[in-house]
Amino acid sequence: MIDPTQEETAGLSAEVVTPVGGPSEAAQRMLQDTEVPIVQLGQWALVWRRFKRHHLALAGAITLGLLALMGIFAPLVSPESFFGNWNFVAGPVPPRWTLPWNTDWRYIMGADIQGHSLLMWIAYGARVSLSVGLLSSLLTMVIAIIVGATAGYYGGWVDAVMMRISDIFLTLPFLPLLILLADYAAGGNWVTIVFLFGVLSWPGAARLVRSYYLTFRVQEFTEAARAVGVSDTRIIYRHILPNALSPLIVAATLNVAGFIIAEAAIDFLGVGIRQPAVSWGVALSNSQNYILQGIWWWTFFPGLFLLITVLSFNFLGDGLRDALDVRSRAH
Amino acid sequence: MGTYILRRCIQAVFIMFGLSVVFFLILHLTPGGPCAAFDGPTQAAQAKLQQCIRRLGVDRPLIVQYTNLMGQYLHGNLGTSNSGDSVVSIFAQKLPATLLLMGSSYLLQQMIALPLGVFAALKQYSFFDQVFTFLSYVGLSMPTFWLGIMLIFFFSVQLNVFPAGHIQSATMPLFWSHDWFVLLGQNPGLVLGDLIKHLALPCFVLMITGVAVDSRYMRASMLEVIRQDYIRTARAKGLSRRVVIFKHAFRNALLPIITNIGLYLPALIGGAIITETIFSWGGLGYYFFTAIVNNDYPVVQGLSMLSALAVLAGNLLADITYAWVDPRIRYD
Repeated sequence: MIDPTQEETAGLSAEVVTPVGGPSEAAQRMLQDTEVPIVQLGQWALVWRRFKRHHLALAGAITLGLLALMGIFAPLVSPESFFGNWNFVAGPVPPRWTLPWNTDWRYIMGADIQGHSLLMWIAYGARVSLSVGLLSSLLTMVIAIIVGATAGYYGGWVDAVMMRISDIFLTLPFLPLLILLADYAAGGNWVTIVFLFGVLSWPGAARLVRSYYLTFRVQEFTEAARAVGVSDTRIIYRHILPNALSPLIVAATLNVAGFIIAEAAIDFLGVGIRQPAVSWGVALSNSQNYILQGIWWWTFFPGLFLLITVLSFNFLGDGLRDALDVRSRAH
Repeated sequence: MGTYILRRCIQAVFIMFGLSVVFFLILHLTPGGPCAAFDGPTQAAQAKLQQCIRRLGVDRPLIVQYTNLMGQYLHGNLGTSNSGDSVVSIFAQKLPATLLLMGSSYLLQQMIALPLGVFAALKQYSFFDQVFTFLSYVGLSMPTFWLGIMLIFFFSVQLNVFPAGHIQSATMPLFWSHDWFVLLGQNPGLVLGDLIKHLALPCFVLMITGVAVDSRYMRASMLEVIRQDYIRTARAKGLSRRVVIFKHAFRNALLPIITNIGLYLPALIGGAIITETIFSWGGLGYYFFTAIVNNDYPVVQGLSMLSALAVLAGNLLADITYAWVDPRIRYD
């Protein structure tokens, strides 16, 4: 991606030019007094410094922040509420970029055939995409940690049974089953979709969690904790989990990207979130027949935002992997 | 090796059993059950519903239904669709279109991804490599259904160079039928040209993600190989860079890619649901999707079992090729 040697020299020269820079200052303080909290701060500062070096990841994080703000403040961003009085115009409006477009800023991306502005679709759709993506990833990780930690920590028949079950789940064809279950169960409810994602995708993450618990359960800090009588539950969640968190954070971030695409795909196929609810997938589903009539903006912008969001999560995950140094720790 | 394969096969049988139970329960515990498609307020609908319940034996205990179904499957009978066609014959009828689409896109994908990956690895950290990395992330993040529609808009509606969907023009005889083969013999240029024109867009859409993933994979694999001692030795004894890269490094870097071919098997016979739907391709993916939406229970159940079988066979194939192409891999 970026030449590490170049980056290294760039980082060093920046420190030379500005001697008051964060890391060098922290290093100086470390030399002066050897208080433990400063060392811990330095660790996270190091992660942050490594993350900042990954420009695309930084750009992704900023983009996601803006998208989240847009979703949270959708009623302010969007000129109309989907649930209220929205009929400003009667028909489709092409994007207006000519000056003075500020008099008509709500049609910067045009409007669909019913006169809903695309800005409304995008702003309210961001809510759905981000909520479904983040919550599904969280749910997947919670299930994966419970299953993977139990299997990896206790081993034996518990491990064998849980891993055979996860084998079966891993063999399930994801998309067909998702479509099937979403068609039966979801009925346009995004909470159900989150639940489906969690149920269908925990096995991969559970195996990851398990592999870390297999490593950590035989290490000295675990044995020490056990020797002083710490309960298994506490060892699993308070002693081992923090050590295994970095790769899980990376996996969870990359999962979000997959879930957002999958959610939009089932909306598009008409088995996920349905009208009159708003999501980017619903916009793509509704618009596909009208694109042949030349109403391209109704399809173009929701898909573009979908791409940008997913791309941002992928970059963010990649940057976190470098910053948290997951690869070298995993081997 | 022999015992390893045997053990994996036995494992696969158990997983298949588990899968069949999962599918069976999913389809039977849904609201309305397998005959939901026939439910309706009218008397005629109720009569049909009763007929369906008798035909599929839904009123019997679950365990009896399950054993009957599995007995039927083991005899190679995947049941009958709600419209009365046998699922096996539908599968055989739709398979060629899906194989054509998935196979050609996979071949093209490898033809593009492998050189790209090798080149990016050889020029690591160059401008090309950075652009390549960025684009591969874009490809990885691409919502393919959106890309498909935008391509249809651009190439079919605006430029009118490629058709918007279907496997061939309406004037052609049915794909893979007797008449089609006759025409293919008489005028191969016309038939194949028409086919390729229809293939272009869906092939491209299917390829994008695969190229992004496989070229990254190839790049990583190549980078790992060219840092190894035997490559340095080959260079040191005076072989040219070209020979070392293509005869020594490339062939070894290819190993992980080869072992991944097996993992592609489910997609090859299962088709691509979304892309086939967008391009009205008329293969298995699209058929499976319509069966789900229309609650065509026997079709969904039969094709699900087939696709699960394909996943298992694919995984098995991948593991066996892995052990076969790379003698360094040893299984206890």
